[in-house]
Amino acid sequence: MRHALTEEQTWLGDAVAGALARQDTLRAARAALDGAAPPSLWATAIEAGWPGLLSGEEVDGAALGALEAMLVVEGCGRVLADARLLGHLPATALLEMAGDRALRADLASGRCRAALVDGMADGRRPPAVVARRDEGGLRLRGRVEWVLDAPGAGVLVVCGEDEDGVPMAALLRAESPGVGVEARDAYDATRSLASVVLDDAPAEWLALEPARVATARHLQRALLGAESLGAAGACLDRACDHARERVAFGRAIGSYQAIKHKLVEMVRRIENARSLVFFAGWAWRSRPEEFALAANAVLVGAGDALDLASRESIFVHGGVGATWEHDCSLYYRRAELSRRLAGGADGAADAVAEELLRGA
Amino acid sequence: MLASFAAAQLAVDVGGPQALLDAEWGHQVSALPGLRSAGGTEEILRNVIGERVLGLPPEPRI
Repeated sequence: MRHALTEEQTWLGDAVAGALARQDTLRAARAALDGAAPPSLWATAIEAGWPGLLSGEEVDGAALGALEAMLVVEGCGRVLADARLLGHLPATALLEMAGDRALRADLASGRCRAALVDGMADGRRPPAVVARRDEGGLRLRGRVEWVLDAPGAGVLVVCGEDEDGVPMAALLRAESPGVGVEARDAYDATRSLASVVLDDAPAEWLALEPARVATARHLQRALLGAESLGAAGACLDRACDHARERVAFGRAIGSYQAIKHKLVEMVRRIENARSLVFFAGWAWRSRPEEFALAANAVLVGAGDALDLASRESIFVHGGVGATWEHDCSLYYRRAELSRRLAGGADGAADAVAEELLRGA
Repeated sequence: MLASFAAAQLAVDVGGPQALLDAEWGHQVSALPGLRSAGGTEEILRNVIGERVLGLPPEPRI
C-alpha cells in the first residue's frame, strides 16, 4: 500500500487552493465574528464540482471517494473556508447507496443543497430521531442539536431508528410540515449550525441495509477530521514563519529548543493524522468493513493535531497571537468548536474503541 | 516511543499494581525509560526534524 497522492489527487489539492484563493475567507471569518453574514461559498463549490464529488457519473458527479472528499475539505480547512460540504457530502453518499432518484442529479450539480441530520444512537445515548409508520406513511420525530449546514439546506437526510430499534435513514424537504430548522449562533462564526426539530414530519424512507446507515456519520467525522488537519497545517506554517523571523535575545526564536520542539510536536501529530486520512481513504474503496474504525480515527488524530496546533501557534506568536487582530484566534475558535461537533472527540474515540473491541 | 509508553501505562492501569510485577508489561514499564534515553534520541530527533524538515534556525553550536 503506497501512501502517496496520485497526480490527479495532487492536482485536486492545488485546484482547491486555487478556487479558494479568490475569496478572502480569513477576512470573511473575522468580519463574521463582528456580525457580518459570512459570504456563501456554495457558488465556488458548484464551479469547482465539489457538490458532486461522491455522486455517480450517470448524474454528472465526479464518482470519487472519501480520500478526494477529504482532500477538498482539508484545503478548505487551511483557510477556514466552510463550503457547507460537511453536511452535504455525507447526505449525498447515503443517497447514492439508496437507489436512483431524480434528486441525485440536483444534489450533484449543487442546484439543491443537502444536510445530514444524524439522529442515530451514540454509545450510551438513545437515538435522537425515531421513525414510525402510520397510514400516512413514514413519520419522523425527534430533536438533533448542532446540525452542520442545516440552515438553508433544501433537503435533509435524517438518520435515526425505527420503533424496533433498527437503524434507518429518510429523506425530506426542509419546508415539509413538521420540520423546524432553528439556526444557532456559534463560537466559530464560519460555521452554519442549527437545531433540527422533527414533529411527526412525513418523510421518504431510504432503502438501505441498516448496517450501512452509519456510513454517513463515519464519513462526516472523517471529513471534519480532514478539515481540522488543514487548519492544523495552516497553524503550523504560520507559527514556523513567525519563529524564523522573530528575534529575541539575539537570535530567531525558532532556534531555541523549547520553540523548536513545540513546533515538531505539531508536525508529529499532523503527520499522524495524515496517515489516518490515507487509511480512511483506502478503507472506503478497498476495505469498507474498516471504514468506521478509520474514519473515527481520523477525527481523533486530527482533532488532537488541531487542538495542539491552534493553541501552540498562539503561544509561539507571543502576546500578539492572542489579540483580536491576529488570525491565530480564528483558528483557535475553529478548534474549540470542531472538537465538540459530530459527536465530538470523545464520541469518535468511543467509536474507535468499539470497532477495535468488536474486531478483537 | 510515546506510543509504547502509553500502551504500557494503559496495560498496567487495567491490570492494577500486580501488572507491574508482570513479566511482559511490567518489564516494559521498567525498560522503556532506558530505551528512550539511548542517545538522547527523542530530543535529538526533534532538533533534526525542526532544522531539516521545518527549516528552523539551529541552536548555536560551539
